[in-house]
Amino acid sequence: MSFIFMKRMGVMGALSLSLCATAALSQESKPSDKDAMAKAALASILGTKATPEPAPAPEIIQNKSLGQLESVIQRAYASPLSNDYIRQLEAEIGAIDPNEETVDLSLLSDRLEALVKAATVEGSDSYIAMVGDETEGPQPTTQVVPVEPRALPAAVQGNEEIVSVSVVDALTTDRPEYVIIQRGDTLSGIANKYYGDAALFPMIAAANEMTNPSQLNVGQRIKLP
Amino acid sequence: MKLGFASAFAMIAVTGVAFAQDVAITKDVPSVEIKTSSEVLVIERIQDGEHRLSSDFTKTSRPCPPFCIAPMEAAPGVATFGELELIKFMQDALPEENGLLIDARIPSWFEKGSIPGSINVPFPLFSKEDNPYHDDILQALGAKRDGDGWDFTEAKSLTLFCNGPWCDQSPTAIRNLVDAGYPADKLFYYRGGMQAWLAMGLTTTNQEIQQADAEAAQSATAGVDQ
Repeated sequence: MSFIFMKRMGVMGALSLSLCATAALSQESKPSDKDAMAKAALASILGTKATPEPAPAPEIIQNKSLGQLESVIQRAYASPLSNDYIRQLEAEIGAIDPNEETVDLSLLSDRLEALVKAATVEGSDSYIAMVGDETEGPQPTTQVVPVEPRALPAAVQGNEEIVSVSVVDALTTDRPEYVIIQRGDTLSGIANKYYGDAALFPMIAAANEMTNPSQLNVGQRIKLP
Repeated sequence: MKLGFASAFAMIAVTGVAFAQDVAITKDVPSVEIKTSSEVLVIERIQDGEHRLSSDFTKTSRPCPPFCIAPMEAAPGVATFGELELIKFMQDALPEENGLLIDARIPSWFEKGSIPGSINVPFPLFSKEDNPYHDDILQALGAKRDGDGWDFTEAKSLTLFCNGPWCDQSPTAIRNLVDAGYPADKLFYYRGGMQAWLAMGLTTTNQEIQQADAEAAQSATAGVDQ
């Protein structure tokens, strides 16, 4: 009788005991915040993999603390995605009017960052001039970068060729034809920046046939008269 | 003595000898055993004919909102399971590890007792809002990065549940997954949730602890009797 009972304990008791332990532990550590929940959830999802053939990225997740997780994931993503990002960049540049003298690449800054990472990972000699650094100091709200439109698609097609972007300080006297509205931009701010006088904003509004100068959308292209 | 016999029957059934249980799952299925890579799950029903719920799941009138009655379908194309379909899913998916049973409740509920074999992925982790782990979760579930989107070819089948038909956590999680592109035919919704599972007296993780205790006491008594 006791043998049978022990056998039952073997099947279910072990599970129960481990659950007891888990419950006791988690009561102490109170996994109420999202980090702890995510850590536990990821571990339990990945823990269901028995055969040791995990995808590379999950394996990394398992062995790293959650604090390191994001950077690991980013690195993991950067490598296989680099070509995609390049194609994407190519497509976006291709969509730009080839006669256009200036394009705003600040909208692409995320992707440029990814490209930089990809370049680092692959050890290629790709070169990207980053447009500002959002983490340091006050930045101009609108960053305008003249590029050579014809050079870029060919370079990107080469994939490992140099993607060269010359950065020009937005505050130089070279006024771009267009600016792309960023979060936080105002028409008077743009007027002040490019014409030195915030009161000139109606001129910009008129050139863009805007009826409501206070209504700007992120990503909107504004012509500078 | 009667208790001793009932207890003995239950134990023998689990050890593999097919004896009839008083309270079977279906006419032909007294209990179900599911072998996973790490454990053997036994799904059966409480054999005590007098057993009643005495837990939080006897409450009838939680305020709505937020505890509103959920529709039968969580999202278009996502099949809704009853208990038998859920058990079938567990039998098919858990040993092969091509599917997961997901308890979408927050950890404190999961710890109080859940469906054996389930894992706890709380519903906020499926949301894109205010959740830095959204992509990690998708990746862990078998989705692969594909440009800006995801390739779900290798993604696991998922059955999600929460506290019951009055709980919107698992339907919300399912809708988040569908929004992220997770194929609807890989998603299943156990609408009855813990409420229905408990109401049928089906095995829970917490109940195993209680049963082990109860049977230890019974076994000691039976040993003296015999």
